[in-house]
Amino acid sequence: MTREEQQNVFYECLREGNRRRCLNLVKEWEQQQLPDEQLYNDIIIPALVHIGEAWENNELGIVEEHVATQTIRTILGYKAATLTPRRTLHRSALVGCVPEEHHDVATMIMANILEKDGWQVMHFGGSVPRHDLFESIRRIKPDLLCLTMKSIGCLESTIELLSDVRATLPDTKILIGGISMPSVRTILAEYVDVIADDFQQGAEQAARLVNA
Amino acid sequence: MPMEAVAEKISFSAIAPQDIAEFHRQRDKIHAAVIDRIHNTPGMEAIAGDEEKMRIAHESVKILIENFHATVKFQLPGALLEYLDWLRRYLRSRDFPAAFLHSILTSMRNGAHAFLDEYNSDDLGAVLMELRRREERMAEGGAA
Repeated sequence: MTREEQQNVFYECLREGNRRRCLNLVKEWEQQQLPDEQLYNDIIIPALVHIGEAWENNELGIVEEHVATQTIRTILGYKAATLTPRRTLHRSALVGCVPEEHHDVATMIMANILEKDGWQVMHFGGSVPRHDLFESIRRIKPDLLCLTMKSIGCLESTIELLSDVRATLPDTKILIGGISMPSVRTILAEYVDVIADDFQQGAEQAARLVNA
Repeated sequence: MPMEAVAEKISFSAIAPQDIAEFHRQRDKIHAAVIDRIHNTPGMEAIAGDEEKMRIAHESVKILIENFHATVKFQLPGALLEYLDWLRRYLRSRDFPAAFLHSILTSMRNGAHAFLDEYNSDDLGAVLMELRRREERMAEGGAA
């Protein structure tokens, strides 16, 4: 099966809400040694983008869109449960969304990738208020704070959080992803160590930040 | 090409920080005023009488007000235009009238004038009027 055929068959199963078939496809490709990064970047993310577009265009209802997202969560949970770290870094990473951001699938992928790379990962997902997130960061003192942001409405609380983290925990490295707009990246660059363009680059730069 | 990479005709630089901060503080009142206007605007009866469309309207207005605040505060007009482009497509796909988006921008402008008592709402209003005109051109099938 070519990559395009893999993308198409996975998307069709996802759109139909065929969770079992989606899981079986992932297991088949695992047996065929498909690297996780390719599964995430070339199959899962494009499928989710298409599902999102179908919802935006009113071709899919909210329930169908949520079924697809939950199927992806199940797959990522399966990948998390079965992954084998390739090394041990003795470094901790706190992974999740910026305050008040709800789109958390990308954080699940990032958590899996970092864990596979040897990080001790704590993954909190999304929809966390700024104050609570800051208090937990201060308590946990992670080596790496890895965040994703999609909604521009979260920018203010994100900057407040990052300023507080910088002032309180200067040794904690901060990586953020999910931002495509150059002007938003320029604003955030002042508060973070790395703005990642994709998952793999994010993981590589995270390791570099802690000299791993 | 991202929207912000093309022409940036809309500028937020005239809006004073204290005015956008007050807009943010009054956001619930402005939201309520925008929703109220949907119920009282000729041509919007189909929305006001449709529970699902009103749910979408509530959510869209809430997020638009949040995004307007964030993009003005951080001087990101391109990001707001990109969001408006997305919102316009989304509302069309849900069979909202083409006039809906520029109507809610007008209501936001009216709300800003009504609730920013001690503050200057003129510069905010001017930007919202500029955005409204842009939406009108888009609704007529013209360019931004």
